[in-house]
Amino acid sequence: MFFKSWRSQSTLEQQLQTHLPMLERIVASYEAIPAIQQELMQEVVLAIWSSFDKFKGDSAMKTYFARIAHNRCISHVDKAVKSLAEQELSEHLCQSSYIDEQLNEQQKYQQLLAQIRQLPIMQKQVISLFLEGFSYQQIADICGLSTSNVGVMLNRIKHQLAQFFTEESS
Amino acid sequence: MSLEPLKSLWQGQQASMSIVELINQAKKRQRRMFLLMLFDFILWFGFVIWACVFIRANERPDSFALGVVMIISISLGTAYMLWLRTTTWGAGELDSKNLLKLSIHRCEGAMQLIYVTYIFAVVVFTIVIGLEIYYSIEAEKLNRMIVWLVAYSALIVVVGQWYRKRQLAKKQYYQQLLEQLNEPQD
Repeated sequence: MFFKSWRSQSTLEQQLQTHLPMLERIVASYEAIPAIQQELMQEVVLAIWSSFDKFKGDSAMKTYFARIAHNRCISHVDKAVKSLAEQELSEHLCQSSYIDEQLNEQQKYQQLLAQIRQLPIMQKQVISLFLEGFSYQQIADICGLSTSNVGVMLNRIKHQLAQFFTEESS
Repeated sequence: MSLEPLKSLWQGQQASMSIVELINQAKKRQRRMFLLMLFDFILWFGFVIWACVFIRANERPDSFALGVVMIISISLGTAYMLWLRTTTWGAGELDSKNLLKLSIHRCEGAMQLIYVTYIFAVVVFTIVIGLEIYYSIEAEKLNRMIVWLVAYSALIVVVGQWYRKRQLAKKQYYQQLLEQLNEPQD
């Protein structure tokens, strides 16, 4: 129950390897500090491992992993540390955006992450899942929303992000 | 604005952590969890053995009753701990709202544990003192026992209050998140 055998790990290891970039991106959308991201990733992997036997194939493996990752991230409660670091990071990014006129991909990604981290939790989940390529139905299933709500929410987030990227580029 | 460029920007980011290392760390955590549970059992077993030795070594009229009370208390305490752990374990497939509800339930469970521990301490205190008075042991021994029990109860209250505060803060954080999720998504 609490202690699991690690013998049949090859399948899971393969699956984790495939979806690791997605898991990292989800974790990064919640947490800015690399050290805590690492810790959170461990928790996500442990949660996936612990519940992997219960996976009955009702949904795609990717959906299953994304759901677990979001769940673990929600229960991650280093809020005070996070918000402090978030502020510092945002300031740093803003300064760097003035310095560099041409932002490279990595900086853009970091800015996108910083924007996503500032969103309310539900919007954060919806946009990160959408960016991962999940369908409206899959997002609705993971977040416990209706598909129409997902659409409305994405529209709202799109405007917020558009505003941000327009300001940045001008 | 289309979200497609952001999608490709997002999906273009590759993993920077090693899966082998992550799995190893997760294994280590699980082993630690197992060892902690084992420690619970060993502690329980140790107490039971100690209570038996206490009964055997002290051939006083009260020692058997005290030993039995100790065994029953420790067994009940361990059973309660295990019940609490198993009922608040595992949440892999829940959606966000239900996970938050479960997390709140866990915090409430932890706070309930503190109250049960307080009640437990009071009950044990009363029973032990009651038994000692019933079997009329010497006043000096009784005083020493009272001092130990008071110190033990005080320690429980201090640790309990600290833990309760932590759990309350966690619960409030989860409730805040749940409220965010429950806000109308027009």
